[in-house]
Amino acid sequence: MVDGAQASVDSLGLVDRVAALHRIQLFAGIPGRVLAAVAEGAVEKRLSAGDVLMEEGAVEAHLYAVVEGRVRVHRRDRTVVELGPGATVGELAVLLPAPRTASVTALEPTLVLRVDKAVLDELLVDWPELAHGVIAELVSRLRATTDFADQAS
Amino acid sequence: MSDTPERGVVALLTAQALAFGVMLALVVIPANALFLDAYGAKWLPATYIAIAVFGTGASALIARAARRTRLVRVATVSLFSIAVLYAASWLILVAGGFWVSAGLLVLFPIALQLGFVFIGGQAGRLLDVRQMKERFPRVVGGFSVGFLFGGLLAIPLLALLGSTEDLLLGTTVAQLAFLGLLLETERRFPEVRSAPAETAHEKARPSARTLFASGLVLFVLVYQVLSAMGSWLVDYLLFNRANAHYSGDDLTRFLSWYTAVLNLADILFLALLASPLLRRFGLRLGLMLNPAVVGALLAAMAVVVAGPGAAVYGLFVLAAVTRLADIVLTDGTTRTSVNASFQVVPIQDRLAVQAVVEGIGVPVAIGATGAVLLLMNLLGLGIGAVIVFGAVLSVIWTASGAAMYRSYRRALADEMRRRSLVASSYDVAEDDVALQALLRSDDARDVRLGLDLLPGIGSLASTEALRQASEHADPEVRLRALVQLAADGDAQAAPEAAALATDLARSADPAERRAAASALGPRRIVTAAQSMLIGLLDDADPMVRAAALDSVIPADAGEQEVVRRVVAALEEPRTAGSATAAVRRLGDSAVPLLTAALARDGASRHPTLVRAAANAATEHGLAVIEPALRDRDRVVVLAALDALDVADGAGVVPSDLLDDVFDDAAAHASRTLAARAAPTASDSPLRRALEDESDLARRLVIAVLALRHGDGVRDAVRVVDGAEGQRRALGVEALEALISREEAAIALPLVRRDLRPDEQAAALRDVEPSARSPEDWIADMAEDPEGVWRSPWLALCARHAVGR
Repeated sequence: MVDGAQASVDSLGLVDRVAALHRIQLFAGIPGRVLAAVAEGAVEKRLSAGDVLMEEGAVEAHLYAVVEGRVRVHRRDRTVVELGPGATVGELAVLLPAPRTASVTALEPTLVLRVDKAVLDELLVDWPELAHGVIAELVSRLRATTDFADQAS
Repeated sequence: MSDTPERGVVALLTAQALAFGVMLALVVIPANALFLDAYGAKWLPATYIAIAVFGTGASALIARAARRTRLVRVATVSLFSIAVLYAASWLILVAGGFWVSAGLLVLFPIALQLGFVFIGGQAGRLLDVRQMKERFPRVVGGFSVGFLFGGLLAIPLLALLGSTEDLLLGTTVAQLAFLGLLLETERRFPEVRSAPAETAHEKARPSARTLFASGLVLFVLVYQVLSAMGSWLVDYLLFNRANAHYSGDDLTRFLSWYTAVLNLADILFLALLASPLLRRFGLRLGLMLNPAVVGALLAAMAVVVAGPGAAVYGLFVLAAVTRLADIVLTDGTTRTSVNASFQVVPIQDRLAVQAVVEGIGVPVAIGATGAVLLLMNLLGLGIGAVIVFGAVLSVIWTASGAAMYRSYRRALADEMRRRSLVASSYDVAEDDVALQALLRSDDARDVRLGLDLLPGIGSLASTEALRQASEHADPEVRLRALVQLAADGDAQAAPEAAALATDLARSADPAERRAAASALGPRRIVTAAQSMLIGLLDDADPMVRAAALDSVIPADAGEQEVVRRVVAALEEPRTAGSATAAVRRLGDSAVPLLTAALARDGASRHPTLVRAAANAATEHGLAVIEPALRDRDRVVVLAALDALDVADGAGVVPSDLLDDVFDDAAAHASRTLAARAAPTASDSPLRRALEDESDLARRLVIAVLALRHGDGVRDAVRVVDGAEGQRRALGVEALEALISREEAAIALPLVRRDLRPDEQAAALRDVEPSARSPEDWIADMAEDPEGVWRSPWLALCARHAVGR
């Protein structure tokens, strides 16, 4: 798993962070002035190919937004899905803290932003658009998991 | 509909109206000439009565057909039948049957009304209400040009064909041209076929009561009847005065000259003034201008008759001016406004309603006018009595226009409230057996549901089931049942509930602590619970805290420790909803803490706190929410306005404060829209920030309008945002009808998402007094020296875009 020492070599400016968050489907409907507060609290992480971002079974309460690069969501060796810029991973843990259901590994040099549960909770109260985005994301994730289960069986 | 098809529709409808005008001119000239030659003027009132009888019959037939088949099919059959009638009339006239000229005189107003029903019906399907207001006057203009052209064409045609009756050949050709253009419209725009017929077969025929259930249809009918009566009276007055001053060839020359001037004025008014007038002043003016002007002119005529007398030339001039004003305004504003108002009638009833209103109302009005004139002649009353009658009629006509407009606004508001999801009232039924079964279930979920339903449908028989539930294995169920029994007067249950609640409050299981918290209110069955309540308000689990907040009752207002925790809970998103409700129950005691919290630097940025303050403001006045309403941050102001709206706090905010917010939002919108034209604004973050600021200004404007004018504003905006085509246009129309003209000038460009930013910017250009170039605005927002932008994020994006 990545630790703090690997984060923030070339930090993004606040405007660039917000622009990056706006490219994430989940946050696309949120005004920049609101996302600026999210971006200020977000933690930037840079990963090299092969770095593990999340490990299956770990109990955490944050999600990651993929800004650059590509990651693989997998259960052991089986790939569930590959995700690129604009995707989020770990939303389930933010909504309901529980052990991670899959691992996430960088496929290439990747930049992600970590958003904590408290921030998302506050946003969800005031921005119903975000709740719609979360639901849509969960549905697509559920479909991907179902497909994965179908293929596995 | 994009602009190009809209133009095509207007062009084809105008061409139809042109052929229609030519046809009518070529029927009215020979019909009048032949009838007057054969029978004289004394029998004209009899034709009025015949028009009433046959017009009503024809309209009923058309309305019946409209419910059974498509508009275009009804129009095709009707127009072809009338063409056959013209051709047959020509044959009969050639054979010496001049009696048929009476039939043609009767047919003329019926054909006139039907033609407009068909043209208006097509326009109603192909254009939305706003396009109607803007474009339909041009279509009507085609009719005026056609009528003028037909009149001028009659002279060479007469020379060419040799006799008056032969003009009917031209009439037949023009009628067939009208029909051909209608079919071409159907071919090019098949959506015109979206008549009710396909579904009407399956539905019961709408009764007269159904059609008139909407007050609007009744008002339109009354208005149309009065309009037709007014027009025919004014017509009569002109011919009466012209006959008094001219005779023979002089009369014919005057009528030719007057008709030319009339049509020219009509065309000029339609081309230059009608659309801008309707766009700027709306349907209210469209419905009231005609009767008001005619009424004023008739009043002037009454003064002349009472003074110099009926014989003076001035009265004749006034009659000519009144007739001209009536024709011009009928074509330019009245007809368009009535057609536009039909847009709120459900499409499946629209043609039937139009046919009834225009096809029955107008012939009845003509017949009534004939009867009144005959009666006045029989009683020997002079022209003065006719003028006075006309003036009184105009006053009623004007009032009916005002009433129709009010009804139109109501109908629009009702249409905006129409939802796909209709709130249902759930009748749980008095199914005590089912309730007892739930309460006696072993499954805790069933018992919880039974306990939830109990307050609504509980009975004596439920008590036994409750006792059984009070011994349930699930402690939460047990506690809830005991509390319910205690509330119903069971003295033994209260101490048992208190003991169990105390136990559960100490439980390690959050669900059990939540159950204990719920048992503390609202009737405080569990005694000595305040310390327990405070403990649960401090619980680590937000769900437990929320349940404890739900149990806060007015009696807790005296306990500062409770009040302090309730106000603090407002700033925690997961407990804010329960805390807001608790603040309301605590009343005055929470206000000082709440006001202090809101006034604290930065605290006003908590929307949950603002919502609670808005709730409290509805009972404790402006002071609680004023810090948020006067905050420099427009986001906070918006949160306060929205929260006040939700809390029914419209009356809390003084109008000058709302004016300030509205003006500031309008100026902010003007600036941000202007800045969006700058090349620098193509920088993605700045572009997005400017879009967000425009949206913020839009929401502020809507929030102010909702507080000023009620829920209808949000209903209309919801339709504008969510609907397409005709329904979206209706939403804009509804909003325009609700708000003032000054508000509409700012709100409509902002609300309409179909406008491009540059179109919005152009519409709001004059709102911001300090004109600057787009690039200057970007530079200004980066530093914000005058404090007008008030957005650190926008400033940051502007600096980022210009590379500073």
